[in-house]
Amino acid sequence: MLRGVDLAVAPGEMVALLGRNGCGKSTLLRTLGGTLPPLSGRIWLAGQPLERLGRREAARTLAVVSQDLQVPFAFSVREVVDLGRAPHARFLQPPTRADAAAVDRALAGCALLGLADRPYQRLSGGEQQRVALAMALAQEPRALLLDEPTVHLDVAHQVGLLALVRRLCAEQGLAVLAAMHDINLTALFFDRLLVLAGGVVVSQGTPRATITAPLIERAFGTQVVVTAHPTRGVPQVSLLP
Amino acid sequence: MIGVHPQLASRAASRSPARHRPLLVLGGLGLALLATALLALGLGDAYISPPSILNMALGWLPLYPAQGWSDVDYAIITQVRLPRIVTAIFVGGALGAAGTAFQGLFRNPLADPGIVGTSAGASLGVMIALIVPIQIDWLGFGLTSVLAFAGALGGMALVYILGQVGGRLPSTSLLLAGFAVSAVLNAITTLLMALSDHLRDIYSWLLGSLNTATPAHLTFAAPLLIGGTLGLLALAGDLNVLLLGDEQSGYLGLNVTQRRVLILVLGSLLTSVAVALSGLIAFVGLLVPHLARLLFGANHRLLLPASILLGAIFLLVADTLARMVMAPQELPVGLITALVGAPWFIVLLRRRRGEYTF
Repeated sequence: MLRGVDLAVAPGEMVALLGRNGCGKSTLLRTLGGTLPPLSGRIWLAGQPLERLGRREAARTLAVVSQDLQVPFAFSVREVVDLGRAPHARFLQPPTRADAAAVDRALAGCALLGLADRPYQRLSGGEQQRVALAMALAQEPRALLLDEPTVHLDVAHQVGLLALVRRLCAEQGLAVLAAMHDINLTALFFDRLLVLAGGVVVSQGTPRATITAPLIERAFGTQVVVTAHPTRGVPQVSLLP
Repeated sequence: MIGVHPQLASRAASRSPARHRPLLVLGGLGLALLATALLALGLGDAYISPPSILNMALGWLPLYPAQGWSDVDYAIITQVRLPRIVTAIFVGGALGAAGTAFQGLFRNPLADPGIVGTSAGASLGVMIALIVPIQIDWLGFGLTSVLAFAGALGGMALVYILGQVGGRLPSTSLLLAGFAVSAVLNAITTLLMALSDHLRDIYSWLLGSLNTATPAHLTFAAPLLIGGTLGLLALAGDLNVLLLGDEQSGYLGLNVTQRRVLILVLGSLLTSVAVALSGLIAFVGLLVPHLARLLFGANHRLLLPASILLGAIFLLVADTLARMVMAPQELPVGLITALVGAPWFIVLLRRRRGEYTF
C-alpha cells in the first residue's frame, strides 16, 4: 500500500520511480494506468480526472509498456504494433489510412521498419522491448508509463532503449514515468526521480539533489558510495558490499 | 553468424504488404466451398452432374426457361441432399468459428468448442432423453435435440458461474471449471449408460451425424448460427487484443470482462446449436483453427473468417465421404473428421519443422 504520493509529470519530462522490490513502484504504475483504482485521492490525466475518461479515451491519452510483452500467437511485428490502434478503432470498421500511418510512424520511431514482417516471437529481448514501445506509441498517447523497461536487456540495449525513450519524449512532448531498478542509468537519463520506501515517498527531485549515500542506504538498505560521473557530472552509485 | 536466413527473408518479403491478400484467401475459400457443395450435391446413390444441378439452381430465377430435369432428381437434390449439405456447411462453419474464438480467448491450443461444458452437458441431455419415455415434437426437433441444446447451455452456465472470481473471468479458472464440470457430467452420463440398455444409441450420437437434418431444423438453427457467427466476426479485432493478456488489453482500452463474456456466450451458443443439430462431431472445432492458422497466419481478422469457411469445407467433405465410402451404409462423420483430418494436420505441421508456434 502507498500513502501520500503527490506527483505531477509535465509534457517532455522524464520521471523515474526508484525503490527496492515490493516498495510499490508497480502498484503505483497500475493505479495510474487505471487497472488498480486508488483507495483515496485522484489521478488527473491531461486536465481531466482519470475515472471520468472512458477506458478507450484513457488509452488514447496514456500508454503502458509492461515488463515483458507476451504474444502467444505467431504475430508479425507489424501486427503486434497494430494492436496499439485498438483504442482508436471504431466498431465494425476496418483500419483506416490514419491507423496505417500511425503504425508506420511508430515502427520508424523505434527503428523497426526493417523487422516489420518478422515474427515477434523470434526477436531478441531488446528488439521485443522496442516493439512493446512501438505498440505504445501507436496509441498516439500524451503520457507513457514504463514498468522496468530495461530489466532483461544487456548494457548496450539498456542505454539504447533509454536514449530512444529520451528522444521520443523530447520530440513528441510525451510525459514519461518509469519504474527503474538501475540507479546509475536513472541518474543519466531522467529529469526527476521519486524514491519510495515503506509505502511512502522518501525523496523527490533531480538526480543530483536526491541521490545521496544516506538516502540510498535508507531506501535500499545497502551501503553505497556516491561519486560524480567523470564526464556528465551526475551522481553515480558504487556498491560497498 | 548474424543475419537473416535467406529462406526466412524471402518468406517475410512474400508475406509483406499484399493488402488484398485477405480478399484473395477468403474469395478462394468461398469458391472452393461452392465447388465442394456442387460436387457433394451430385454425389450419392443417384449421381447428378454439376451442370444439371446448376441448371436446377438457375431454374429458381424468374424468367429462366425451366427445362429438362427429372422430378426425381429435383426431389433428391432439394429434399434430401440440400438440407444435409447446408447443415454440414453451417455446423462446420460454426465449429470453426467457436474453436478459433475459444483458442484465442483462452490463449490455449487445446481449447475446443466444447471445453466450457457444452459437450458434456449435451451428452448428459441426450442420455436423459434416451431414458425418459417421453416423445415430443417441437418445431420438428425431438426430445434428444432439445435436451442436447438445453444440456449444452446448462453445462456452459455452470462453468461460467463456477469459473467467476470476484466478477472477473480469468482464463485459468474458467478452463479448470470447464474440465471439472465436464468430468462430473461425463461421469453421470457414463453411470446412466451403464444402467441403461441404450448404449448403441448414445454411442452413435456421440460420434455425430448429419443424416437427421431437415429444412425445419434449419429454419430454427440458421438464424442463431448466422447471428452468432457474425457476432464473433465483429469481435475479431478484440480477440487479437485479448491475446496480450487481460492487463495489457485493459491498457489498450478494452472492457476485458465484457468482451470475454460476449465471446464465451456467442461461442457456446454456436456450439450448442451445432450439437443439437448433429451430435458431437469431434475434432473439427479443435483442428480447423490450427489448419487455418498454419495456412493463413494468426491474425483473427483473417483467421476467423478463414476458419469458418475452412470448417464448412472440411465438414462437407467429411460428410460426403461418410455417405460414400461404404455406401449404402453410412459411417459416422466424426470418424471421418478424425481419420482424414488428423493425418493432414500432421503433414502440415511436419512441413513447418517446428516453425508453428501456435
